[in-house]
Amino acid sequence: MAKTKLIHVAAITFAVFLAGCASNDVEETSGAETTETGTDEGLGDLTLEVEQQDPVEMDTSGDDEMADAVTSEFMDLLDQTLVYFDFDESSIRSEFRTVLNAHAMNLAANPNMSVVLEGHADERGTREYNLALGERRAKAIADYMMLRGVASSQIDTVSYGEEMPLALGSTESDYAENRRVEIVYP
Amino acid sequence: MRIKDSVIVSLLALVSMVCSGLVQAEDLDIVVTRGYDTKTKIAIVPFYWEGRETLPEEVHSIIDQNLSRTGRFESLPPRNMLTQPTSEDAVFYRDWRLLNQEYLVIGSIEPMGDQRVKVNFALYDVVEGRRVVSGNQTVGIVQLRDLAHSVSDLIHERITGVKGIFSTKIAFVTRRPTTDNNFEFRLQVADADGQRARTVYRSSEPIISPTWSHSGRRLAFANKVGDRWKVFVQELSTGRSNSINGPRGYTSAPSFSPDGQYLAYVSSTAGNPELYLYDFSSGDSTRLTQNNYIDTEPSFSPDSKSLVYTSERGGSPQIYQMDLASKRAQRLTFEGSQNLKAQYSSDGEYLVFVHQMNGRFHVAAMDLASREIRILTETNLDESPSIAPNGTMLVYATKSRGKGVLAWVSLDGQVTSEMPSIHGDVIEPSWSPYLN
Repeated sequence: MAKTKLIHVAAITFAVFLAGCASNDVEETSGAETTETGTDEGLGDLTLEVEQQDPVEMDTSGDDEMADAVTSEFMDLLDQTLVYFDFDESSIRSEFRTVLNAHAMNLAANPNMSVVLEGHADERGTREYNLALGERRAKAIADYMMLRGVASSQIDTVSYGEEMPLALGSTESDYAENRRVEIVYP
Repeated sequence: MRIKDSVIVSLLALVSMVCSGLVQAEDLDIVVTRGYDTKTKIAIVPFYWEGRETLPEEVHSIIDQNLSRTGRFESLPPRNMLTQPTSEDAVFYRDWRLLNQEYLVIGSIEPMGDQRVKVNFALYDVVEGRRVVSGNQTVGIVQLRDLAHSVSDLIHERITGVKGIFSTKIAFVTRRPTTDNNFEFRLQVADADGQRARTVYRSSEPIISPTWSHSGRRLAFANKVGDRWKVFVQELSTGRSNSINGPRGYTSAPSFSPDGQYLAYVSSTAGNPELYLYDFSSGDSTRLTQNNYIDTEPSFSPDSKSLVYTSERGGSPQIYQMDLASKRAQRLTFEGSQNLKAQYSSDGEYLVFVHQMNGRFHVAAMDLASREIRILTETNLDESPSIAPNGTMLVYATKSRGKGVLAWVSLDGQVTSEMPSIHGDVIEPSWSPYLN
């Protein structure tokens, strides 16, 4: 199907992107961004082993088998739709950049696709403040994606505040699970 | 449709009444955990009922619970009474002085037919040996609880000089898990003691921040509707509502001005949560703040001339005060790592708010003259404080055994009591103004 093909394209673009990053050839010059989320491109904790792949080889793109492998890893990243935050924080932790890069690539390669970013907070603090915090987290992810080529018209953000916890307990690990943005493809 | 709705509402009211009857044992579990050293000693004699069938309410028990919950009264258990007079000619002050009582309440209830009863009551000052006040009122049997509350108000006022708040209401939100792994949210209005809850609005999506208009006739609250949050203003008598929302972001945190002219609220439609003022007469909104920080939880001063609100423009959420004429704001709180959701007392002399220190959230009060902060609650995760209209107590939300519950505390922090939830969470209480 057409969609599969687009994901394929996004995946290969992603592989090229990662490979480029890995060899430090690409210098991020994203201009006047002021958000903390976009200042340091960083590689995060890259989980794809693509260093040995030559971008030039990728460009020839004759090797369907390898492309399929990359696609499958790319799809695994797209399956990760939860991004977690520190208490009272909306800055994106480096470990989530790979996942977010994959989602951004996917959306950038598919301009007709849209995404809803749902921001959540843990139960500490007032409900109104947490509503604001959930929105700020969702917007931090939106800003990050837009810096990576996703159009603002593709993104909708909504805050749930502390009202829809994933974990119902009151331990630190429950709280950590609840401070999140959920990436939802409608 | 409308008729059907009202049938459902009355059925619900019936169900909640039946339920409150069934779970009375648990409701009576309101635990006063701290109290005053010197309480006023009062004997409330069981009201003599001349009819045959059992009445749905024990008027003397309701009066007893009301007065005890303030922490200022200690009532004599009926079993320790030497006599149980039901009329003035059987009142012997000597008997009550022997029991160290300061005040005595007696009463009787006569059947009047057609589900109506006449309630006679009197309050005596045992120390001075005189009747303080007496009266009678004929009400429907279903109104016995209302009558018990207004008698409690009268007793409270005659003894302490401060009008009682037992006939006021509390609005709150309940959150219950549903079978399909979601929640059901209900906005409810109950008596000041949490009893007789009635659902005024329900949603499968979150409801927060209910607040009363100063007439007591309208409630404003925020409800998530799809991917937006809207502020609703609902007329309680008709159930009709209007909403305020922006094209983007969320709209929430409503607060009525005491003069009835404005509704302050928060909208993030311009990209960031900012304060706005909606003018009921013109229907226009004015923006009050403009910065890159969170500004939220506006609440009016009693003279409607200024607002307190939460802003994190100084790095952490703290309480600020804005003069509405000049739009100038000043920071009021400096102690504690966070201070949020402030509300003025009705005399404007102090604020109550949520105070975070060492990771724990408590309700605190600040004297606006001295800027001194007092912590009022000892539990953790305390939030949403709302002051009673006579300024003696506040209700707040806290967690007990993993559930959201309501708790009450006196403004001097001497008395706390708690109402355990039957199921689900009870959150976001808001105390009504005087309703009569």
